[in-house]
Amino acid sequence: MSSERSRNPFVLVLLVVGLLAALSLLPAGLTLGGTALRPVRLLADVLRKQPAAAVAATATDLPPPNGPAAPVDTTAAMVAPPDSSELAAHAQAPAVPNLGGLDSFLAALRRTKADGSKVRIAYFGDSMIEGDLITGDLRNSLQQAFGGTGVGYVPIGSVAADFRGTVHETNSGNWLSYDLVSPKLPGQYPLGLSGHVFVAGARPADSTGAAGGQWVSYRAGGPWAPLRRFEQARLFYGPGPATDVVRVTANNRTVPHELPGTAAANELTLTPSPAARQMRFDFDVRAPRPVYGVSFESPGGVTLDNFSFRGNSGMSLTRIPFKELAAFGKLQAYDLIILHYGVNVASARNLSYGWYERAMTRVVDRLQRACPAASILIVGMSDKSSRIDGEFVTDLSVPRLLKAQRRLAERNHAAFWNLFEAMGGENSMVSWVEESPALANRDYTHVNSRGARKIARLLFDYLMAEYAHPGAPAPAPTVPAAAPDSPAPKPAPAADTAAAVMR
Amino acid sequence: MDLLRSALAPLDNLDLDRLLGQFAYNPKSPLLFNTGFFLLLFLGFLAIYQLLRHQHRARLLYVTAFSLFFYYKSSGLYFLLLVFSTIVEYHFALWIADSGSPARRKLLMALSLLVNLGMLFYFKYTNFFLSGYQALTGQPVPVLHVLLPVGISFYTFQTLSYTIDVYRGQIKPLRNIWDFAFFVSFFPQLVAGPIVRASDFIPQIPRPPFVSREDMGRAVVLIAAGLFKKAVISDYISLNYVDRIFDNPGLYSGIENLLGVYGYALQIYCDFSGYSDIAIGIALLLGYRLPPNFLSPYQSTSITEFWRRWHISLSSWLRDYLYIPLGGNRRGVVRQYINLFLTMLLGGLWHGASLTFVLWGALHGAALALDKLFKQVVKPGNNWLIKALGWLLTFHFVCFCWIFFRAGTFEVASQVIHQITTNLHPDLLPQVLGSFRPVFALMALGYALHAIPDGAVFSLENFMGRRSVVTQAVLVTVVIWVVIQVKSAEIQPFIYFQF
Repeated sequence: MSSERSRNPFVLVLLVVGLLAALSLLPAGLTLGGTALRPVRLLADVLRKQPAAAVAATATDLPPPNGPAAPVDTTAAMVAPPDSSELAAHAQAPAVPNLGGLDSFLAALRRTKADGSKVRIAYFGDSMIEGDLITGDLRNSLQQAFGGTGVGYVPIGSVAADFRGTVHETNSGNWLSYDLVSPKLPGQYPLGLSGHVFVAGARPADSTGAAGGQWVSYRAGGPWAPLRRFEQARLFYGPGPATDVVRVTANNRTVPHELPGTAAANELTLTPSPAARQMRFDFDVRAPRPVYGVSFESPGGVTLDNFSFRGNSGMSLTRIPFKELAAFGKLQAYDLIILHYGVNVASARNLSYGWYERAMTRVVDRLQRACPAASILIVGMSDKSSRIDGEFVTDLSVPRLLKAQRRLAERNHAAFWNLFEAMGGENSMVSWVEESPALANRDYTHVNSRGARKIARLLFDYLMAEYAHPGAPAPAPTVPAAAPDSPAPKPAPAADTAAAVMR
Repeated sequence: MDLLRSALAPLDNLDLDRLLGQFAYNPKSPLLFNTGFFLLLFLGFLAIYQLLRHQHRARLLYVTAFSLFFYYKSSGLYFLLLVFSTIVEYHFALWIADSGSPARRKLLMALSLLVNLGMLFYFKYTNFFLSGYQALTGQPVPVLHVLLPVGISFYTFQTLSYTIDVYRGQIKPLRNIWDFAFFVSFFPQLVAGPIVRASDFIPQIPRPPFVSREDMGRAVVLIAAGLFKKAVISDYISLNYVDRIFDNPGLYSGIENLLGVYGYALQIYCDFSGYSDIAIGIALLLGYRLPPNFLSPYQSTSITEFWRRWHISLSSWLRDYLYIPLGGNRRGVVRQYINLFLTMLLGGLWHGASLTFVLWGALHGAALALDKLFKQVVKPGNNWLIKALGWLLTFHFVCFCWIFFRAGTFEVASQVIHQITTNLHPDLLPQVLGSFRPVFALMALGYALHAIPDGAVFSLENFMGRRSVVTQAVLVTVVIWVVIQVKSAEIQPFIYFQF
């Protein structure tokens, strides 16, 4: 060893740096086996930041602000002039337009404030609202402000049941069920409003047990007082003989009830006294019978139903037959229907979302016909990041999809709330993920419970700002303006919009 | 000439503010070994280091100054803590060594412990105990807004080992404070270990640094493998899979959670051992030998063996400075089990100020005691079946404990366990594997590499040692290039399965 010279690590590191410098001279856009190779940028940390491609691209794809609407036609025409099929979508405007924007909902809310009458909201969404995220907090804020108890509609079963903190649901596990993503939907078991149907008295495909004996049990609970007791429960089920029986157990007493009804959707209303902590439903049916879910609510005040379905783009809601949709619409008489979708559609590969707008127009139209008195609110998608050259930035598809969502709202006389903008706009997802404690998950798409609470607060503030407008009738096809005193973080005025376009 | 011009073209774009900014304290971008800036900085550092090779004193001062800068970069003014700790411990050790009275020595040793552990306690555990007090008594207490100095758990243990060894008479104290400062601040292992023992390192200080052929081969393999483990496997699977599962376990089926736990076991090993390996490799390039920190721990066939292979510098530290002073195995079997348990309980707390870490340590402590008992009572044979069963049990026990280590709260941990035990849905496995193909391919590769026997790694190190420096540089460059590819790859889109 004494004759050996010590090695020189400097030469090693110099060679490594030299080789990397040589690699950085490779032309951009090389591919290897179909995968694009990323450029080596040795000095990336100390060079001037070049305007990222993403920023340049989104500048023209500017997301619509929450503030006073910019003239629609100019922004729309700037990128993608409406093609003939989009015009066709426009022609398919809803058959029964509501008063426009949020007006009928706001009127109902004022009635509730005055006389304690009922106001009912359906909140449809995807995994963003699973487990009562966003909807739980929003419901609580509304119930605090306008009264009412209960978690609203709960299906017989759900993938997110264990995750849901606002009601605890268990069932016998032997329910035959179909939902929005079932490959085949048998005609005799039509889907209900939540996009599920559960069949009592039928054997699930993967089971060898007896066909009967289905039950479901709900336990009240959660962080908020209005949810800790079941004041009133409404069971929804399909048509069948009245000799079918459900045994309802509440407060340690079991009472059998018949299940009459020949409508597509029927209800059995139960009022346990005293209000129950737990309710169990045991079904005893002669022939297979569709059962949908139970709504926990109060005779007055706010009821807000969470209709989450993971992976849903919103478009598959058309798989619910109109007959059932209308039957539920009649039973529920919604005052507001919220549609919150987008993360399952947004993909940088899609350059235009005209097809999405057309498909969702059909969804809105059907919902509007089923619930003629309901206002419809489209919630624009949240920010979602993708990684471009190692840096997380707003996905290119986000502003494109938002534009389609806003057009959808405008053309259907619905209200539009731009969640992306409310979150803080461009790249807000990155800061939500990096904030301490974090507001969003590291898939850079979903918010966590803290983020959900923040979104619920922002949405509540938006609704209250609208509510505070003393009877101002919103001009029909427009985006509702935020009130000047709106606490929303960025009610971007039109001037900002112009500046952002020029960036 | 044109080539040279195009090679230098990027320099036209040099942003002086950003360049200077790289040298300033930024808690959001600590100086990690797997960054481009570190590579360039290290090149510059080595140029002068080589020039000073034969100037002993100047070289030590130079490395110490660089180390302090390195620490300042990630911890700002807290580098003064390091200076403080250096001055205090240097003098305590001298006073202890020079004192004739046992009582005085004991007092000095106690004071040194008080200063070191007090510092660690203040910065790391104050809020933990304050909130515990609040939970027990219901009285509101203020929360202290102290930032945890980077690496404080590592360097306090390192300096403690020095003073305790001097107190025990196992080593002679250093008589030059600059030598001691060099030991305490040595940047390769400063912020994330290994915890280098004074007795291992101090004898190397007076010797001129020497890098043999074998050292060079070993350093190259350690750095390349470390980068691959840390910046390819660990970073990729955590971002694209594991983090998502632990963010919201309830949204995923049991099988996805189970794969998340296996993924985390690999992730934490690759992250921790990879970074340690790079540190050991860098120290080797400078001519200093640090002891190995991880030896394929998931190959262990018992929990006792696991702790001989996992984070060795910590487990041996805990053994020598906690378990043995508690009495070790010298006070009867029952006391030994209690000592094992207590040692691991505190070892758990060392990892972070949270009850989940305490439970993690307690589980390991109980398992170590049970393992001892089992071996004494049952005396299992040594055939392949026993070994295979032992491996299976050990690996899954370790994975089970990782759930608490990673989850952060008991609520999240119990969700993971609940999903695995009641919502497994193994029928989803093909869909899950198919949808996250790159993630599971990397996981399979990671576990396959982990199964390579240590002997094969030594042969690779020797093989690389005999290659020219160009070949060595090519190996490191290829790994860095892969790191760049993976680092800037698009993330896997999220998928929630119906179950």
